[in-house]
Amino acid sequence: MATKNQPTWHRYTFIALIVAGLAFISTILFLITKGLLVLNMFTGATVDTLNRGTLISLGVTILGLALYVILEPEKIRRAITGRQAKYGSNLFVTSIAFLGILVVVNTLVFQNPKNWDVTQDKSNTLAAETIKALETLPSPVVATGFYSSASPDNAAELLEKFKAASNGKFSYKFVNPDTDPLSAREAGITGDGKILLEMGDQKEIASYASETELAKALIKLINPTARAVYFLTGHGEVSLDSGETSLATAKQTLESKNYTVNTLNLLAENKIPEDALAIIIAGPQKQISSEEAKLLKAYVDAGGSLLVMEDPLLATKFGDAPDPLANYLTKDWGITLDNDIIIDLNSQQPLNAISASAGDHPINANLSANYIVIMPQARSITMATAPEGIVQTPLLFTSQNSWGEINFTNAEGTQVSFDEGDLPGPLVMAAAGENPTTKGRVVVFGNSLFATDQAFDAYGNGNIFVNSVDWAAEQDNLINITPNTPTTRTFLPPSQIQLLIILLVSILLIPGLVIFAGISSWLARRRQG
Amino acid sequence: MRNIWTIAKREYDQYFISPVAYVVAFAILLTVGVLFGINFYYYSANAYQNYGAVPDFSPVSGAFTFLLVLSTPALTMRLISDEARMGTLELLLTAPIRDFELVLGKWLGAMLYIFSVLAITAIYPVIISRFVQPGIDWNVILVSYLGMILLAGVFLSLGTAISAMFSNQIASFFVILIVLITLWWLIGFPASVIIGQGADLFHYLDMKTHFYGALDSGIINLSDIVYYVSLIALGIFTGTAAVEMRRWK
Repeated sequence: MATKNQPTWHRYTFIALIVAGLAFISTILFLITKGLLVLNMFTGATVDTLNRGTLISLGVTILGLALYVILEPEKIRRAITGRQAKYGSNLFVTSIAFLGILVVVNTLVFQNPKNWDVTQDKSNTLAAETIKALETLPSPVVATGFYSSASPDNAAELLEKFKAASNGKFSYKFVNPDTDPLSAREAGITGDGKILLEMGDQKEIASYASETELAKALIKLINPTARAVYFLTGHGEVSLDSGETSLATAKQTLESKNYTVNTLNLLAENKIPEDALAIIIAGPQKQISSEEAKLLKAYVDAGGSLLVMEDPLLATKFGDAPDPLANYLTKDWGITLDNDIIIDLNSQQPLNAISASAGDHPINANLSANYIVIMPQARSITMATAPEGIVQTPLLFTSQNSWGEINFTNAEGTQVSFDEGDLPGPLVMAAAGENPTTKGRVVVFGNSLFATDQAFDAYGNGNIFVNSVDWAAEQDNLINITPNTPTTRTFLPPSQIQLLIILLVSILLIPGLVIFAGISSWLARRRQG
Repeated sequence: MRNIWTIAKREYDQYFISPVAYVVAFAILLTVGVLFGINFYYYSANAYQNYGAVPDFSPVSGAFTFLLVLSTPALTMRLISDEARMGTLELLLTAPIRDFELVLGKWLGAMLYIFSVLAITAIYPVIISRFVQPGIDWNVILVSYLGMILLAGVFLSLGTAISAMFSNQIASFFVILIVLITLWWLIGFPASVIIGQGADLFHYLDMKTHFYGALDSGIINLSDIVYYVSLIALGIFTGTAAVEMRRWK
């Protein structure tokens, strides 16, 4: 054997090849870096440094190869002329083809991302409304996260989802306000962890990284014009100022969605403002006069929208006088506010009516199925056949286990029960109507308390109120930016004994069994000899 | 097909004859078990302060992938190296087996072994789910296992390939370790230094990014699957090429 007679230094000639290989790799890296530099993707070094690096590493490559050729001429000759060269070139071609296929396939899937969120709650997927807002972005939006010490990982994950759903219209970057205080000051950012959204000259700030916050800011960007809604006053309606029974939270939520919230005293002004997208009548204590009702009817006939929230007569000072507004709703829309109060036995407090099912309507289209609406002291709604040209939809139903109590006096002191004349459940809690030709819309609730501060945050209450205003004000694309709500999973801790067993099993028993199996198999083989 | 299966089964049995299988399984199950135990204990002790927050499965899957990086060299270093050293590779090469069948069989044998260890870890989500109302999201767990299997597939196929290149187990061991550390920890690093498309490339090559926040969170990205399957294919291909090159000698 020839190799055996070779001097020992022949064993180390491969070092020259390794050096050449490493140098070749660094040459390629230098070239890649230079490419990135030219494309303005990298600024860590100058072109000169890179050129020098490329030359040096290329030189080392050639030197290494040359050294090997000089030291091992025999091997080289064999490699070039022998059988191996033939096989080698075959393999080379196959390898190139194979690598080519891998690169092409990976490039394709990288450029055409496709993913499936298999979590039961779709917790990795943005809410339908957020996606809709992102898809309808009129021009590119740049988000800048201002994060100093706090790790922006969660924000980055969220922003990445926004980016992925935006058809390339949404991009994001991070700025550290500690190292770059100027840009933070320019953007008007105070504090950490805020996200600035910019579309052209317009700016909006999301105060923290949550889907709802970002989507709200985004919606404000898309809809820069002020949209006015009016709350009717003058009949003892629920106040908009803060207080337990006020609509302050509702007002705030509407304002955060870029609504201008005004009040309107029709008795005094006798005219409905032209910019009114919707008029909200929240819990009047006294009847709306017939003159006012006429004005409202004319307004709706001209394409306006009405949101009526009337409490049970028992809770108001309506007395026995007729209610022109309710009559209008019955006559024009086939939606009647019943003179009753809902008793719901499914609820812990029977006076709190709970929605058990929902109708198919844009207002609750995006309302999560897990969300119920609770109405304290509500009256039910009866829906007659829709008058011609009207589309009416019941929005919420109580359960079978409820009824509309009409006999209030009897209820006093005695046990309330379902009697003759009471309205049997399921009862309609809210209804919507639309006239497709005039674009006039009404939403009717047999309750106003559900939207007040004390109940606004309960389950789907605030959601359905805001959705109703959105629908009434024809802002369909804004409806519901409530992110997917996760299934509530609760950890019921194990007892002390159970915990001990679990710890013993996971820490001692399982690894112990492995050791036991190992030793016994070793012993078995030893016994066999 | 039968050849592949025969080799795979033989390799699988081989693991349990040598101490490697027990040492690796012990190391993995002890670490994962301790992490799971501590985590579970923590959640149990603080259940009421945390309003019944559900214990996470990620300590198990996270630790498993990490341990896989460290144990793959031990599991794969001898697969083909040893045959070459013992001189039995010649026998295999002259047997009516195609080269890729040999490599695929070896890889599958190692995969079967990892399957066995993974099967034991399935007890942890079962324990968690037993104490969660109304049970944990099993889809996330299943996808997480899919991710771990794919990762194991990549690691083991690269290990098999490198094992085919060396006749020396120790050399195989270290080269496999270096390659895995590069793919698992180092390759994503340039992504944080450079920006733009170059960063995207390194980000894509980073094995971690295809698992954490993706497969371990119940999201199946087509690109993650394709990336892992590509690497598995690359490993099998390179391994086959390395065996073929041995034939030439």
